[in-house]
Amino acid sequence: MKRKISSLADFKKEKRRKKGWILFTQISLLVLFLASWELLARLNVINAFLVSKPSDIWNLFFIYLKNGEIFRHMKVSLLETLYGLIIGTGLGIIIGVILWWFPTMSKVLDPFLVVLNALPKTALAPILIIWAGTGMKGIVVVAISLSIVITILSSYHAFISIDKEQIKMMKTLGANKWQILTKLVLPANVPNLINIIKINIGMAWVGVIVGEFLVSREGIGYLVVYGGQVFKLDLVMMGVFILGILALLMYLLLNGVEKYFRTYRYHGRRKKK
Amino acid sequence: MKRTLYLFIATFLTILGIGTGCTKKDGLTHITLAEVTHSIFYAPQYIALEKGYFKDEGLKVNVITTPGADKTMAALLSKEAQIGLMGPEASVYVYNGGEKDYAINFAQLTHKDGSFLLAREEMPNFSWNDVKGKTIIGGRKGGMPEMTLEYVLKKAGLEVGQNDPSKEVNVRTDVNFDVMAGVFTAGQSDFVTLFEPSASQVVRNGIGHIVASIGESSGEVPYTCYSSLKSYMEKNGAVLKAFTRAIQKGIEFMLESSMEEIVLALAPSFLSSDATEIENVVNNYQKIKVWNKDLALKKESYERLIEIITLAGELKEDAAPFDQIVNNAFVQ
Repeated sequence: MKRKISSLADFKKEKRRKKGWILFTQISLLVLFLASWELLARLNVINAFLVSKPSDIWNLFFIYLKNGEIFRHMKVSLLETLYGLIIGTGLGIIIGVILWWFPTMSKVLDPFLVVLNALPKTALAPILIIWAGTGMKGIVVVAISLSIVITILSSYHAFISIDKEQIKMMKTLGANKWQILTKLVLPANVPNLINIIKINIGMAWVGVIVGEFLVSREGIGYLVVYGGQVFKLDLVMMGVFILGILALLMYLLLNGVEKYFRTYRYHGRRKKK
Repeated sequence: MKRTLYLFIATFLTILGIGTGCTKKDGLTHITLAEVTHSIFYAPQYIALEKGYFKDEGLKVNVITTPGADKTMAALLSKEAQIGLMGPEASVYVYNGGEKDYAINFAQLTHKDGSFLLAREEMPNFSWNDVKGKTIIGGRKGGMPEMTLEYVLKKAGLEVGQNDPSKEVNVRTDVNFDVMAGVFTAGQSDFVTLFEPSASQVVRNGIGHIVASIGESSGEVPYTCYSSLKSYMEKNGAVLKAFTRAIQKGIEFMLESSMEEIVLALAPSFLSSDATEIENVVNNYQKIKVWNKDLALKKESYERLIEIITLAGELKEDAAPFDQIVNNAFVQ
């Protein structure tokens, strides 16, 4: 049954209640998943050697935590991901702006971009790494290759779908192209750009792990490869878990930025009124 | 809603049907063999397939390639494959990991490490002392090729550093197996260890020269063996015996036939290699006597394998006992 909402306080209370309930369900789903995994592994229903079990992963994580090894691997992967994310997204958006600026060029390049986007970038990673060199540079290039084309395509399409009437009005009022870009096109597309970054977090992580599978001496991907080599599946699973947690943290951080930005904009407007 | 549910059930049943409908329709015993990589290194196996030796023994062998020993072992443990072809170190790790239904090796296909050391220049009088002060791309840490290389270097009295140029010889372990030839071609490092056919390809392109064989320097090691789970072995002794006989015939063919016959028989299994390449590769392997008529896994070569893994620091516990990991009863 729906509760009656009669005041703003009620509305806020209801909203909080719902938020709490969602968080509670999320956590209990996770706990349920981990508990049944542990239980099935202990009862030998699933092969604990092949899929490991949460308690083993936790113990191993604790060992790595104690000797500080885990921070070294996390730092390297995180750094590579950030480089890949920032360069891939930044460059992609800049190219998107350039395409918006020169419509003929974008028409010429369109089929090339679509084909580039369809290429299996992970399959090309070995070649990319040989071109770019081993070490961090190669891994970052793989991460960039995964995110840049889709960033160009989606940012360009976001830019051109701005209301033509608004542009016309700015032009009648004597605005030049630069002003249209900075005062209308970019600000209106901030939510789209944040969405692109959200997608690119995942892309950059995939790129970094693929790169580390090929060449690396440290990093989460390295741990996963090494675990596979010596049949320590706990190590493989631990790597996967850390990966998930790091990606989640980055996502939450971005959500915070998004929220801050929205309220800031909202208050900013209200003050002007 | 209801329709979606029916659709889901129907799909599920179809998948189930596909999964179970393949046993003994033609009077042959169907088995799935998971190989760790598709390579001329395992030539006798492809000869047995091509020449129908398996069929003669009443077997229909379906080969799947599961790149990397971890995937091959996973195929065995999940019972997707009945026989696995991989390094016996995988069974040691699994046994030490506490798995009860572990893999047991019953026949040895290659008796030596199949990788070669390549240099940028020709070195006719190569000795292992020549790598002093140099860098070698050696494969991934904990992998058999890298551990065997380290064993050879240490036996030659060299101080080995992993990604550490301050030691007498620097072995790079950051490059993965499938990009080693590429990274060497791009101009990095002085030496590289490569398997065939990469080694022959690099030589043909004039980028590197084979200066030594790791297998020859390390001595006999059970490098790749056929294994099956303990539970399967207990019930299917006759199948494993028949399988071993077919492999035996394949090895005899490799040792006794002319090069033309061998190349002709291998060509259908290696479509991406031309006749010259197959000939080069087979030649290289025959020179170092990778294949041997005796398929039994000897205790002394098993002990060398354990020594290699222990020396690399990957085996902290007591090694698995020989008679748990190996069963030679299926070799006649």
